[in-house]
Amino acid sequence: MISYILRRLLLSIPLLLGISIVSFAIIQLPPGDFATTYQNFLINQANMSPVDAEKAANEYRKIYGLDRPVYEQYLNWIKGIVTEGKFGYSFAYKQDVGQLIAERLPRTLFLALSAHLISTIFGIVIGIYSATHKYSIGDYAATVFAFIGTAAPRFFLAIIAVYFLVIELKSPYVNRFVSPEYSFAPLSWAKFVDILKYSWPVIVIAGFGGIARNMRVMRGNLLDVLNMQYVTTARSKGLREDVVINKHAVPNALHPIIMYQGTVLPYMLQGELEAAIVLNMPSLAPMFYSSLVNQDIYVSGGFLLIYSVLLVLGNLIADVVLALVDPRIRLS
Amino acid sequence: MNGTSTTDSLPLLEIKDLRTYFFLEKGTVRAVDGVNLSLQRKTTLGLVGESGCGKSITAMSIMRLIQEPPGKIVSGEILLRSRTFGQVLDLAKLDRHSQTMRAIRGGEIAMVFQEPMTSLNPLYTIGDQIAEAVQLHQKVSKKEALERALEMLVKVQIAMPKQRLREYPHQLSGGMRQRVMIAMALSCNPSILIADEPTTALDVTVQAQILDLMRQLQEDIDSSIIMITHNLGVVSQMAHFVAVMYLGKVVEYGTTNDIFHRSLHPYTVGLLNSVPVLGRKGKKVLVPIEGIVPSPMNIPPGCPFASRCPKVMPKCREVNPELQEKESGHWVSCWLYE
Amino acid sequence: MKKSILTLVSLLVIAAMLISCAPQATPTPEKVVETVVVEKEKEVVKTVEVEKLVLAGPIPYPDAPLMAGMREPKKFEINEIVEFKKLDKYCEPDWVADLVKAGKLPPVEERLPKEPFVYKAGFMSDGLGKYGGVWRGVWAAPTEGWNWAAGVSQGWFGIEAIVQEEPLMTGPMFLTKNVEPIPQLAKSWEWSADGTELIMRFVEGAKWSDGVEFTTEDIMFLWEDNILDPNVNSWTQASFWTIEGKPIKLEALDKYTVKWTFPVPYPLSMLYNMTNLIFSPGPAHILKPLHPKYGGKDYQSYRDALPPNKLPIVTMGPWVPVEYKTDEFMVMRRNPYYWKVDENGCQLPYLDEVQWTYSKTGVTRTLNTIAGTADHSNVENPETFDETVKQASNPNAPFRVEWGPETLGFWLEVNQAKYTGVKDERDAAVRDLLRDVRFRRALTQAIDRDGLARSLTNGPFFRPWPGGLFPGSDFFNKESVVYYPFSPDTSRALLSEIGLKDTDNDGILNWTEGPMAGKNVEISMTTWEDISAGATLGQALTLLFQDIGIKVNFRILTNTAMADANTNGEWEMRISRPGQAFATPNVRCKEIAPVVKEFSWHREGSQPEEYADYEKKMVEIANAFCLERDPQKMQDLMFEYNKLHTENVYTIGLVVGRYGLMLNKYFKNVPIGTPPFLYQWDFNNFLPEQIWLDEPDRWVLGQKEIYPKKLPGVDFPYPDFSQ
Repeated sequence: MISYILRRLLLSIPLLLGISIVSFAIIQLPPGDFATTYQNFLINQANMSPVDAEKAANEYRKIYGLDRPVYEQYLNWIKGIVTEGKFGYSFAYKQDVGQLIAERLPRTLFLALSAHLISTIFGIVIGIYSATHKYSIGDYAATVFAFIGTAAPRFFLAIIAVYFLVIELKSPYVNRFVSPEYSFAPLSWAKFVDILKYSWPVIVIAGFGGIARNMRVMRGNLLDVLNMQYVTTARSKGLREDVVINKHAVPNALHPIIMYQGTVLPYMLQGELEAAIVLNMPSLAPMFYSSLVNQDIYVSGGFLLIYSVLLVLGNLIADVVLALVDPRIRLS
Repeated sequence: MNGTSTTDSLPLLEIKDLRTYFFLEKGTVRAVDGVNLSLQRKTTLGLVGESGCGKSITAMSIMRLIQEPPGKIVSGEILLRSRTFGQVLDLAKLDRHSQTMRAIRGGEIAMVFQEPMTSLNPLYTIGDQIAEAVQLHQKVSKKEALERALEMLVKVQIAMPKQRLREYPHQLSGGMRQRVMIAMALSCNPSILIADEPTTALDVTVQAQILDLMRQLQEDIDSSIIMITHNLGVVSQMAHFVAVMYLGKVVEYGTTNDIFHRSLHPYTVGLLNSVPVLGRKGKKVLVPIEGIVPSPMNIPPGCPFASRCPKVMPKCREVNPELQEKESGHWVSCWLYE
Repeated sequence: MKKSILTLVSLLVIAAMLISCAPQATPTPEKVVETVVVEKEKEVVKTVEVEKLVLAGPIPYPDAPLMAGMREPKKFEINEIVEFKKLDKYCEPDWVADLVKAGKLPPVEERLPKEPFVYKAGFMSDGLGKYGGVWRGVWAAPTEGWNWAAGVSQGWFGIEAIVQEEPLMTGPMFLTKNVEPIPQLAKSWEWSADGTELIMRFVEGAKWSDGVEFTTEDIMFLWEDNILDPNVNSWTQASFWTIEGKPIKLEALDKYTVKWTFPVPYPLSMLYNMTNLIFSPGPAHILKPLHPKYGGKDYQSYRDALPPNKLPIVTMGPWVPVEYKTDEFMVMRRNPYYWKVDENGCQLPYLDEVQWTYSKTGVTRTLNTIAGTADHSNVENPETFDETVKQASNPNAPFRVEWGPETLGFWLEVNQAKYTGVKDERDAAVRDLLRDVRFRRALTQAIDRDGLARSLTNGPFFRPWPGGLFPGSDFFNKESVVYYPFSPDTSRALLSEIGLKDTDNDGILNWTEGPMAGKNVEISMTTWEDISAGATLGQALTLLFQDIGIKVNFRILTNTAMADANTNGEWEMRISRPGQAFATPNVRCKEIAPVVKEFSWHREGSQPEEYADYEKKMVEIANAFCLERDPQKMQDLMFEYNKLHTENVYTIGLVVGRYGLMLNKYFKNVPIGTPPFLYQWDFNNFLPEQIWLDEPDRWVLGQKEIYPKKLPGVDFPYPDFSQ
């Protein structure tokens, strides 16, 4: 088991390297660079005349080496990561990218994992209900719910949520992560509760699509499992029906769900990204998005790397958990 | 309907005109369409018939394992002389999820199924699965339940029983798994053991072993056995009584001797004739029964065998004959005998 | 049963898809010969018709409708707004006085300058204020750092306006009777007799927030080592401070006086440049050691020397940023050394704290103001107008909206450069069309502007506008507007006159001569992605132009792509939101005509450009305007300019409306009629240091003070900036 994990980790390094090259190249594809963004700010916000703004932007390029060739920028970046552990420099924020990541990664993990938890738990529970009450009204309602959940884009749901919360409910708990008075305070239970008040729409929206997926998969799996002979055996022993379902059927139906946990994490991250941008959560996602718009290349590159690492780790954890849960895999 | 040659006069299980139908979109399947059976203590009843004649459904009906919907026990009685509850219970009238029925299921009536490869839950150990059954019906600790499980594994003559307790089903062969199933079924000392084609899915040598085992157990245990099979050879070796089913009905019932040597119903005769036997005197050619079994959704009126009976009469196609005692303990439903 | 329903539904769906994807019927082209014959006949007939048809000519341009809740600004003389004088006694918040008693701060008299800046009570619309309360803002741009002298941005949305102080204020010019700038750091100035020299005197004894005195050293450091230093990317470079190619000079005469020397007399427009952003001094005592000329490491380190988290910073502004969470939250606390007071001698600001919440978009600012969790926003995106006004009409709304003058508009810019960005024959042919005033007039008369206005908002927020100066400008006169009405027939007649005809009968006009003869007239139209009304307007214009036979390819591009296209001159028509220059030409006189070679829609590239006669006239007017001081003459010049502009359809105006100012309805002392955007943006207009909240109103919207009774310098020690 240990050797298995180590081997997987080692194999992921060339994978991550490949991802970094491709991402860096893609980020550089759009025309212009951060200096162009800077130029636009000058025109729009500083009321600078376009002529002067252009001159200023060119100066900026020279100062920050944005006029160097792409591969040189990339190599500098990789060198910085490997030898100094510095993920590069953010032009927009004048900070080390690693610092920006460190500030925001916990929040992203919190939002994404909470969403993941909700989607898994609710998805499984509703899926079990749906399978055991096949073709009932509850089952049909759950199916409609599932289709809406999978089809509706998360940012759209987020916009509706914002409208509803602000215009209809006039709720003050929108568009921030935490109340002002807790902004600089250290993490405490009260602060955590406060954070929940603002972030619950993001978690629910990000989890919503996942609930639908999990529910349909669980329903399908469970229906298959319920036809298995060992379920009838369990019943024939005289077990209560709910014990048959929950102890004998569900654990077998969970397998495929556990198996694709690795791929669910990026789905959650993406959902969190869309909802967080609309709902103004200061997690990795909005900063990543603005770095792409502003061509803040090292931020984009660094964040992509982090996402890739999370993906690889997620898959690894899923495989390990599966081995733990299924004796057939464990003992082979 | 009583068998007279057994110790106890009162039957353990009596089934009277049981009808279990399945209500599907395509139509209604009358899987069990009038079954009458009687089972005494410490006897083995063989339930024979072709595939699809309703043998398994009868067994599942007794155990109340039929999913309702789409199935339903439409009418009839399943009378069990329950030792737990000290009275006669009509299992057909009980709520199949009720505590009463669940106490009986697995505790007084246990079942062994046809597919040993998939009958055990792959995620739990053998010991746990047997112990689960034990703890369900007896107030013992887990440790005691596992000891009982070990006892049962020894009884079914499994090799290395102690090790088996901790193993998972995928580590056992088909024959071993079936032994485990038998052990599990017998673990609570049921009054009735229903074996639904227990050897059909195993290969021949293993079949023989399991049958051997069952014969030995027959001597050993107190339970009555209902042996469901389409294999007449098995029946002849193990059963005391035989019931022959066709299209959901019991068409002939009697002692094994009666059925095999003095068969009355044309179907029984046909069955016996269609069994290939090495060196059978007088007949070198297999004689199959003509025609095919009608669809259970579309059972014609009258005797169910009418469409294939070599001795069919006009009356047979109109009215269904009732099960009547032709000679002592030997019942048949056929117009030939009325 | 289920099956049949399913089949039926599937069939319906497939049928619907097929119908929607069915190709449009294409007209079959007739044989060429016949066409020519037919066309000739038609042409003859048409000429006669054209002569009969009078081209719909200009009509009077209507007055602006008044908005509910609009208030005319009350105007003042300068000395009714501010005076620099010594008062007998001064006051400060009680808790600050306590800190003085505890020896943590010098007494208020010592912290203030000799003659502080005094706001006159008569100017304050709600009278003298009381101490206490917070301001909650939202900002949506990244904070680069605090070295504004080197051109680093602080995040906009009001942050710059707070931390940067400058010699004079142009924002509140709308409050002045004579449209003149208001003294700030420079308490007075006077021109020499011949107008080529300007003596400027600064406030004496004012201190930076860390207690170090403000002197002309700070001004000269900005001038010599930032603006004039070509290695520093400050907001303006040396070339900006030239008139007709000749440089402007600045020298310090003493600690509080400087002298400007100009190459031409009375260049008032230059005076307007000594303001926010362009001429905000940074603290020389902090920045000099970091500048390479005085021992600093290098220019990049200098530029990055004051990163966003290095707080508190040294500023002359009313509040000092004391804590910052990247892209999330910022807190500013009152500056104990602020050098302005009210007429009772109470040191400003009245509010103790300013909180900034970060958001990805400016819309959040509006949403939060509606919800009552932010105190200010600007109503500037047409999509939010209807909802915002609806919310404001609710008596329980926490905010109110006040409408400014008509300076929010959208127009279609037409690239009139003959050579720049022209890559082939097609581009050249299109450019020639765009340079033809008949073509531009055809375009402008094809636009149903009332329809456009209605497509943007439900309410009466926008109205037709032909282009040129904004109706809300102080220099706008509706008599000067040559307003061509909506008349597609006129457009078609004009296009026909130019020589465009639909020779292949596909509904789109074709060139009839030159290298593009026979080809469809197709023009590209673009807009910036963050002009949200751009999509609506672009689609509407595409349809309207198609109606007169011009095919438009409309695309929305990223800011970067638009910027590139602008630089290279590779664009044809674009929808834009005009800038300040057309509301306040006096401040931006060089931007209303191709005075400089890089003028927006007539950019000169490697080849010298060819200007139309009226264009050359407009350049003359602009240059004269830059140097004119007489108010009546200035109005006359702008009258002539606007007439030329609209007569020649220099830009194709679309619609104009107003910016709205959304403010916490409990705020007091917001000057009556404050526009959100005129000479400057919001915070530079309503002077937040003199805004106050009455005691019962301070916490009703859920406000919380983060650092009550804390001060920069005392509770937030200044970092070592030399690191």
